[in-house]
Amino acid sequence: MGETSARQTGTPVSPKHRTAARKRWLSDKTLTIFAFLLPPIAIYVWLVLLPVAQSALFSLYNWNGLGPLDNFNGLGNYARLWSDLAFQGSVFNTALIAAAAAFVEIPLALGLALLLRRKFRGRNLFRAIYFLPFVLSEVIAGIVWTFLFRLDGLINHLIGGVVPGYTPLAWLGDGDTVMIALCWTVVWKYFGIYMILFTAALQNIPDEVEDAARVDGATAWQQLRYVTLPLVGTTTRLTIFLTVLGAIQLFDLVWIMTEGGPLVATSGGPMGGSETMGTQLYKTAFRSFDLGYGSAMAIVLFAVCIVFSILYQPALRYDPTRGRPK
Amino acid sequence: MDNGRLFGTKSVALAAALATTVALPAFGQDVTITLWHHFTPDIEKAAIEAAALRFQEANPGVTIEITVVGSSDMAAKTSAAMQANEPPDIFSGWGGGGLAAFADAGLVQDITDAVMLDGWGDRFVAGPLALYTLDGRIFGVPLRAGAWGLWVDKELTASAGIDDCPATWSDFLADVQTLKDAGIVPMALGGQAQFVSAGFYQYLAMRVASWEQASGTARLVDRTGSFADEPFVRAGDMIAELVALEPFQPGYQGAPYDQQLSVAGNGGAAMSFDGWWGGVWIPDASTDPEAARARIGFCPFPELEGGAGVPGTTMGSGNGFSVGRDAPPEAVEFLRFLTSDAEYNLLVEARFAMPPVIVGSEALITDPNALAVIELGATTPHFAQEWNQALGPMFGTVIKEQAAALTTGVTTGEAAALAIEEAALRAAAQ
Repeated sequence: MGETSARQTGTPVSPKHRTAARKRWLSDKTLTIFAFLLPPIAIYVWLVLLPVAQSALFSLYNWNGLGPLDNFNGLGNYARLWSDLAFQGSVFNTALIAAAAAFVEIPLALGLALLLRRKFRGRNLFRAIYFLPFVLSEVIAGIVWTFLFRLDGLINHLIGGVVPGYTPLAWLGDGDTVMIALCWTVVWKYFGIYMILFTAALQNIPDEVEDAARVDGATAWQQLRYVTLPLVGTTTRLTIFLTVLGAIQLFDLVWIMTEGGPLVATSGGPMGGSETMGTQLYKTAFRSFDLGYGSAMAIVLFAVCIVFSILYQPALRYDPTRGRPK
Repeated sequence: MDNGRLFGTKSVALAAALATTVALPAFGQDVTITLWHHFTPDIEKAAIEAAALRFQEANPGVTIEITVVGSSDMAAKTSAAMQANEPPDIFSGWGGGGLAAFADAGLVQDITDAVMLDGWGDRFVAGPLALYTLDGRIFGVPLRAGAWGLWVDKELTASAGIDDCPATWSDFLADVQTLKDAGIVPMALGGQAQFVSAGFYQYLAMRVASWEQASGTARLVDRTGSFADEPFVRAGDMIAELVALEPFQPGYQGAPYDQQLSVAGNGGAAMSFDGWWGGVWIPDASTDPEAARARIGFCPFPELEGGAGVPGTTMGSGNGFSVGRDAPPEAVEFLRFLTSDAEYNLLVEARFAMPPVIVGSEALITDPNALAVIELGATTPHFAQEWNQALGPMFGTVIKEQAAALTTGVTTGEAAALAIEEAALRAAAQ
């Protein structure tokens, strides 16, 4: 700032003087930057990095969360996880939800966004209706669907009305159907937000591009396949990233609807038919007071998210106009 | 101008930096007591709230902030607060191993001296107070305690021609079959509420094994035997025998505890295995509580022909309040107030304190079901606290899960007993 004012007044400045002024300016600027950065860095370290580091430490102990950390167990908790069939089952269920999110939710969101792209009366009303589930809290959505899936609930009445001879199912109480009901609720709850993202992406496609394709004689399918879909590719890759990460961390909906149950028989003994990594972690740490083992689960969950994020980076950075990852 | 701008940006940033690290201390002379409890039925909530209001009136400057949590979430909420080193001032619980974990970590006040003062402790029935006594020191006071058993819808059983409580296990199985033949769902069960299944399993183990052999503490802490021993396997097989009759309401595997209560309260099933609170909680979950209260009856858990357990042995639990480490002295005073004659009698009249734990207060009780539970408690030769509470949360979780796996028919008596024993070994190693 001193430099600017000296230049403006036209006063001659010696090189030595200039360097000193520049240094002062730099240090002022650096100080300001640090002063601004300090609060967010402090919050990040305090609320994110420190708890992660703490969990990593706890995971090395047998500890009930109370009293001193004095029962060191090395990597024992991780070894136990490795052979814990119930935990592996919860990883499988989590992967199932992630797959449902990626392969059902995203195509559904994209399809609806494409349908709602056409101009027709009530289009905004439909958009609002489809978006509504996302606005509801997970707890409310969970309670509502728990009622709908009951033996005497609406779902059974509806199916019974259409399918003759249908025996009502306890959707959430049967190991064979609980994951179907849960995945359905996850898809219902979250597709709205992705539909809105796709709508925004579709609006960004210039009309000329699609017009040109049409003039060149592309069929509707060819337009969609070779023009529209590639142009919303960035959004598709982003939504896959978000849905998969969201599914890995899913807890509240499952907790409200099933608490990870009902128990099902497996070769490794009974386990929760809808247990996810999140519910298993919660039960272990806060119901069994097995905080050391629960922390090991948390670290594995964290590692899965980090590894997925890193591996997915090239896809996120992929720029179709350049043709290859930056 | 330049200086002013620089001063402006820096000061804003520095102020923000300071704001994240500096918290203003709070001043005030009034005392606020946080109280967490899991007494969710309306009449129970109201009883505690009214007592708190009377205490506040008698002690100006004291405010009691009440938080009500569902019973299945209570332990998790308390443990999270304890793990965060911020115990609530007063919290409800079941005593036993869960409380011991908090007490060992110094998170709960040792109120032995207060309880010994002025004969306060002598007012309690000995058994319930023992649930809060660990190694001779007292870490809480009981409010109510009793045995578990079968809650029976007398109208439904009568319609199937059953007039008496099942005296033995074979009578019980025969009743289940009779009810099924009459088109009545024999039993209500919340498969998700695993503590109910755990209680059932423990009762059976206590019928098969002798009192000494069935002692969970001896087995877990002193390792006098294995949970995979024959009586425990047999108890699991007996559940399998019951499950084979398909006694529970459809969809019970995923049903939460509330559903067990409402099925039992609304005539959806003839019997419900549940705790002493069933006489209040089951009608409370009914659409017509008055009618349900008249319909519901209490039966002791059936005996086992040829079993080694002493007949009349009971399993049960109690609720009470403990005081957190940082609580003001007024918190203990509130417990003293709550268990004083005048206040406790109000709790009894409000049907909160059933079965009561203050000597002599049972004279006020007229409810026949409560009297049946009290009678059972008074005549029992042995009483064991539910393992799920007595033996600590880590082991309790496994007992609950394995017992629930038995009632939902996804494991065998032997596999369940082995899994429970494995957990006992792990708990012993901790």
